[in-house]
Amino acid sequence: MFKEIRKADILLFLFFIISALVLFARDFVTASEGGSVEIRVDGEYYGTYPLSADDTILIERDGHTNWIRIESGEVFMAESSCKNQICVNEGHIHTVGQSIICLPNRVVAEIKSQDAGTTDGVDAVAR
Amino acid sequence: MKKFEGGTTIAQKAAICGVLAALALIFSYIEVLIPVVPGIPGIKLGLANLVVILALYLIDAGTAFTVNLVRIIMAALLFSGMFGFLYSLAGALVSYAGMYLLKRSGLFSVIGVSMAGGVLHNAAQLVVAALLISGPQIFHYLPVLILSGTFFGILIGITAGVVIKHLRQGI
Repeated sequence: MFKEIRKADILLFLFFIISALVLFARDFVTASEGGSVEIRVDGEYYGTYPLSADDTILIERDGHTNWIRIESGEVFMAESSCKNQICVNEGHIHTVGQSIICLPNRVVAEIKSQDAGTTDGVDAVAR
Repeated sequence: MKKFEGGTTIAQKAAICGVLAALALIFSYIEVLIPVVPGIPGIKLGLANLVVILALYLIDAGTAFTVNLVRIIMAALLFSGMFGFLYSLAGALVSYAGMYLLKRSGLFSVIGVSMAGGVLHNAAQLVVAALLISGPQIFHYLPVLILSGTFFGILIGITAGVVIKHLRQGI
């Protein structure tokens, strides 16, 4: 079986592995502590909350509920009405660009660098 | 000994197509029931792709395409739902197109074809997720999906290679 492997197979394999490693490395190098968390529901902007203050955000939409908790500078999904609970199991996030996504309820929480106070409502909606 | 093929009459072709689509559907369902890595979405074995690859190699490209499409529509109706449908459709179309082209190029073995299929499937689903829900930051997840697509694609490719070898020798 393995003698069927061609040169092109190996080149493609190396290409995939190297691109994955490069992407990993880029994320690792650019990782910095976040200042706020931005929440979107159904693809629409919902709100931005500072990581400096502990907070619990309840999102209710179409009978789905999500509890997003901010605690000691970290964000996690405390509770979700979704079936698969992937978002709850995703754990805590705190570096810029990290996100927790609940696909069934279409809720996204993403860590941003700036403080919530510096983004005004108009800019946030226009993004 | 009779060679395994897509049948000569339309009835035989329809029957083979149906059997393969049913097999692919069962594989899809098994993957929904038993996740390979629980808790991490998107990491899948791609068992259903095994059937598509077998159809592509042993019968023809059209049968492989039909089997894949029937599987996705049936899976959407039975268990994966509307969102699942969009994800699977995007993944399946892109990975099918990629596998078809790589196979046609004649440069790759079935392992390379399957590996590319796995990666393309994951990448396409990520694009759909980015468009429908989360925006571009979900691409942080891309390296994980490239690695899992490569790894499981190779496993499925090896399996497909063994099955093809034995089926070609006659059943």
